[in-house]
Amino acid sequence: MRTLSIAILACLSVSSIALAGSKRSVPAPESLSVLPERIDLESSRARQHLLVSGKFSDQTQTDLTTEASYESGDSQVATVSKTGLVIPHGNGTTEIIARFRNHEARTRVIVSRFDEHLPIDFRTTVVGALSRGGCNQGGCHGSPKGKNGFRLSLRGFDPDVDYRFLTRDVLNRRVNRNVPESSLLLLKASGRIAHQGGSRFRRDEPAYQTLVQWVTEGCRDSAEQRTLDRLEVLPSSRILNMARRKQPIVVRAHYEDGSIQDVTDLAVFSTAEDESVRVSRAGVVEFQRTAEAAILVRFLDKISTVRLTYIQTDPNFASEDIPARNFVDQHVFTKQRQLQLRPAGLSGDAVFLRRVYLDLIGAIPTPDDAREFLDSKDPLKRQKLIDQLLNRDEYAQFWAMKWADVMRGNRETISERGVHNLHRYLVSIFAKDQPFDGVAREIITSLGNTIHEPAAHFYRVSRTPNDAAESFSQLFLGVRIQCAKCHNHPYESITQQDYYGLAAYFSRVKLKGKRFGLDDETVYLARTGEVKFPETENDVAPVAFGKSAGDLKPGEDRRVRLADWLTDPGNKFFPRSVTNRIWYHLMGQGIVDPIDDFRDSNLPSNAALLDALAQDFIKHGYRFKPVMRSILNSRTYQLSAEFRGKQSSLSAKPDRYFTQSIVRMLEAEQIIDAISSATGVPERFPNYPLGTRAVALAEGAVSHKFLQAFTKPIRDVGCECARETDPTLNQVVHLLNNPELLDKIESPHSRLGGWIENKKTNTEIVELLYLATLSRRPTAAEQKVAADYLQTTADRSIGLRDLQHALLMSNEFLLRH
Amino acid sequence: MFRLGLGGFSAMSLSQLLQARAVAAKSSRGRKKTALILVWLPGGHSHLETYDPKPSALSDYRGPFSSIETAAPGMQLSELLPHHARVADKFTLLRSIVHTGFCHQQGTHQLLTGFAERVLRRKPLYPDLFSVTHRLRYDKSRQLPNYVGVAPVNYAGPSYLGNAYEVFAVSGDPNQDSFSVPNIGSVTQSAATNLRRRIDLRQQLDHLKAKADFLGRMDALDAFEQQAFNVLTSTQATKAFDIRQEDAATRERYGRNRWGQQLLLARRLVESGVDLVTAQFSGALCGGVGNWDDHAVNANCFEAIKYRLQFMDKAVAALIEDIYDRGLDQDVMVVVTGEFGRTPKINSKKSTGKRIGSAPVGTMQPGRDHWPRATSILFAGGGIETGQVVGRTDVRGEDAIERIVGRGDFVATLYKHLGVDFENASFPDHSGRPVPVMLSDGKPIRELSRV
Repeated sequence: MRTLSIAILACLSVSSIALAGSKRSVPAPESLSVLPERIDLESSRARQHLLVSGKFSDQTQTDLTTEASYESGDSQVATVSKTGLVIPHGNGTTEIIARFRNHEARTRVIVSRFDEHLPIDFRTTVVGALSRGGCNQGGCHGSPKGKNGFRLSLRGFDPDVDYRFLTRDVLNRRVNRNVPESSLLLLKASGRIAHQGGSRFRRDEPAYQTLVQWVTEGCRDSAEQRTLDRLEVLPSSRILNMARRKQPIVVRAHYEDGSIQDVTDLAVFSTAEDESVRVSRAGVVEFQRTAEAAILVRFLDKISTVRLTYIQTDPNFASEDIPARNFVDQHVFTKQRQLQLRPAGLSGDAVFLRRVYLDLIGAIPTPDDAREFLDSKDPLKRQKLIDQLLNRDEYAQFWAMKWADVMRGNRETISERGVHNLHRYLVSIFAKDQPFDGVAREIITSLGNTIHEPAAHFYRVSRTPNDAAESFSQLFLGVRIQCAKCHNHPYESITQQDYYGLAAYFSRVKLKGKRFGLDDETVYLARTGEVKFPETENDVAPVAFGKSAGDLKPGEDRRVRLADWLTDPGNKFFPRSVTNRIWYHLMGQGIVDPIDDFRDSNLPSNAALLDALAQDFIKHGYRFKPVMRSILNSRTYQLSAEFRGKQSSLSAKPDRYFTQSIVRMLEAEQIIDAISSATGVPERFPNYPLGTRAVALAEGAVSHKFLQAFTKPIRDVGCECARETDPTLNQVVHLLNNPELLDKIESPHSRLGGWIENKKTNTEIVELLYLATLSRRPTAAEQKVAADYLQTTADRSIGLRDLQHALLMSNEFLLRH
Repeated sequence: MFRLGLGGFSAMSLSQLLQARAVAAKSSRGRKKTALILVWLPGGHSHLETYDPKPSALSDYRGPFSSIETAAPGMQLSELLPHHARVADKFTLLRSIVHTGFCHQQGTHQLLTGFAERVLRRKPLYPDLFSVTHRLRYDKSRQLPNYVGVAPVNYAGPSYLGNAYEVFAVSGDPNQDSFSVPNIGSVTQSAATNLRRRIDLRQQLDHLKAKADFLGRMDALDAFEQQAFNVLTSTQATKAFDIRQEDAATRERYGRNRWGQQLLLARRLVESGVDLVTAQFSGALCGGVGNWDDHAVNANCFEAIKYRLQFMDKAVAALIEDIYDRGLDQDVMVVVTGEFGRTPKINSKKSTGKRIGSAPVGTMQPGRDHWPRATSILFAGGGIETGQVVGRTDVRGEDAIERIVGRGDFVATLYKHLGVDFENASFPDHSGRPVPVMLSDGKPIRELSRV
């Protein structure tokens, strides 16, 4: 076993841990701890950052590394700097004592091989330093073309390439072994000569010193290759005491040979962009307000996450005692209370009515339906309406549309007949509320002619093992693995092994029968066929995210094993991914968001809620409707979009915690259907019978300007992102001037035309327009505005048509709220 | 949906738009305002009958037409292009572009995106150079759409940049007296008054509280309402699209037909501040087949191209001259090409139908097939060095043998003209992966730069 350790020139250790402590007084902790619990320093260059924490009675913790005083049991073996850096001085064992007020905590230090001089290790330390400086990012020298003639592998993924380009390329002029600091590499990296990427290192920082030392030692490649086994990130997840907003992070690399290296000065730290929390380059997390944060730590090809919570206690925060209707509310409200958030009030009947119609069947209620619901005195009317809508045909059509959107079935991929055939298949799944584990299995293991086996369209769309793996992963696991096709995912723990291991399940899927002019194909299994790992060209065995398919019999359909893995109740991806998708469609925001992007740095905003929903889903046999009922009947779903009053100034940002209903643009199909419903004039879609609703269209690429403007997906990508959620100019132009829309408003055959014809009074018609368009009655003030306006127009039918158009252009109409 | 640079992906917000514009502004070098007109010959134009005649090849390659001298010493063109010949000192020909997109879709995708697109799909996997530029230059204070297709290129598209960066398509025939463009300044004075009234009424009634909207979507709707009203009622927009304001002589010079008037409209648009115009030459003026795809089954490749070049020659030459006459030649670049050249060796098959340029069903007639191994492209304006021929194909016109230029070089050339920082700009694709606007090592064609 051999050990290398990071070179830090002792007194230059600028670990910004020094920055972490403000000198504000800290309340007395109940106990003190010091990490790591055991320190092995296996060379004279090895160092270790300590982390001293005080723990309070409420289980919160505070960093005290700079406040603590340190004592070494034997200063011949090791000493500790004021900032908590352990420095070896000779072989032996000793104990370090950290003290704060009347508490103390101890850790053991073992120094060995102090007399051996070990060179800087290229493949770990130098490559790590280049990553720390950001030199090998995708936008810089890590891009496939490099930058200005200098190329590095993306995030140090391929040290061979890096070594070659650093030391051999352009006649070796990047490094100067005689005057190391004059190496082009170092001059540019420290910004001493013009560098497009600016200054990447301070000359006194350890990562830079590492590079200097490596050049001084003759730019040697690693004598042997050490494999990084895992990262240890300290502290583990914790809740910070409000006394201090900052928390330094210490990172240790564990190698397969058993050695441990403190890589705090080489690791790269990041957090999802959020103004609530920042992490410095040195790894000091600083909260700006109450928040939960996932901090991502990367060193070489390994990634680890630590979750920190900071709560600024608001003594005046009083959570109202809102009764939870079911487990959904319990989890949502618990999280809100923890973060000192309060939910909005319950929405009124009219808002609920419109919302649940749009979310379940994609339509708005007719004026009669609206009136009936609003006038009903039944205390259970909301629950009954939910059940009634779940049984409507439109429910199946609307939800089939959502799944068709992400299955990439279009005329080019599966032919026109295939599009209709796949659509019918999906509608029947939702109409029967088929158990979704069975549906997934049917799709994954599908074989045969696509006309008879519509599930097999999956393979017509995803024609190669790689493509099938990507689609499978995004559709059923909510994980995007595309990045890992060419390199380990730069921000995530998804590896190339994961990618090709998954593709290997599909290696024998073949298609036949595609000939010019024919519109069906047959999916079958070949007897042989393997996926190769790109660099080595070795066969890859089927492995699903670390779970091997096991021994396969010759000719066995591997996909059955994948389906077994997927639909095992213990699978951590599938039920959570599907319920998250359902939650997103009903609530307007995923618990994991974006919904097809489950990853370490994109944690759920409420993990307990997501787990509970997944359990509910499994408990009810993977059927959609029961879990939907749990969501729809919760108070959380029925909250108002409007928050009256103010959240506590010390609360977390509310936007991920479902404190109020989320306002969003209606989807393209919903808008056009709602316009047809409000005016009573159906829209015409080419090649569909008059009266077909937009949500019932079988295909995405309908030649229809309004739908195109509102970005109805043409179903060429497998993610929800094709449906754009922010409004565009083109859309507003259509709302103002779309000829079909204007025709509907002018039409004598519209609802409005009928009301005028039947000589209803203005007040009656205004009420009916509101019921038909906004699913509610107008207020007295609105009646007055309308009445006043009708005075100004020459003819009441002009004024009423203006009112109809004004309501159709209104935010209240266009947004689901 | 997009976001510049690294990271996941999210819906476009106004602040991101502004940020994107800042990047674009920083990246445009020198000239402030450049524009591009692409004349697109869908189906693929035969290089032998247009910009790369082969008078010394054997007859089974050469075809029936001879070549002519031009205003540019040493540059020969097909005899079917006399108007081009007259203005040859005002353009440069590239005869050696090579790519691997063998079908119309991939050919178009490769040439207009710069990526090695190999899979048959209607829309490109990567955004084309027009969408990218449109996205980078997006400015919502404009009263005209900034990327207009008169008519748009069949297989181009913004892919993961999002539909908001789709071309503004003008599908009508500008040669018709009834020509008008939907939505653009099309609202009459009285309709505008009505619309204004309705908008005012909406504002009076719309009570949904802004505080309900913590994701900021209502702001965006409200912000676009005024702009949409401007576009619909603006006189600037109306004027730009009103080709009837051109005098009769000018209209005649371009040719009183659809293609001629398409290019005249293109010139009007860039003069009015539109940056990106594509003009696809398809339809009836192509002859019976409707495009440039002269397989023997579709058309007699010589009859058909002779028919359509009379319109194309006049229109293109008029546009080039006009660009120079009006002093637009530094800022506006004109590019003429289709997705590929055509097979130099003439083959013979039975016609599938009688139409213009095609004999009755069953008659054997000559044709040429797809040929991405050698394509000729015309460049004019844009401050380039003109009167040159760059690159050369062999004596049969089969392979480029001198100064071979790739699709990446072509795209880089146009990006350079448009001030797009093609070496650094990137956008996240649908999986969130940041994808550079160009993956290949394309370099702007150096011969076009003025020394």
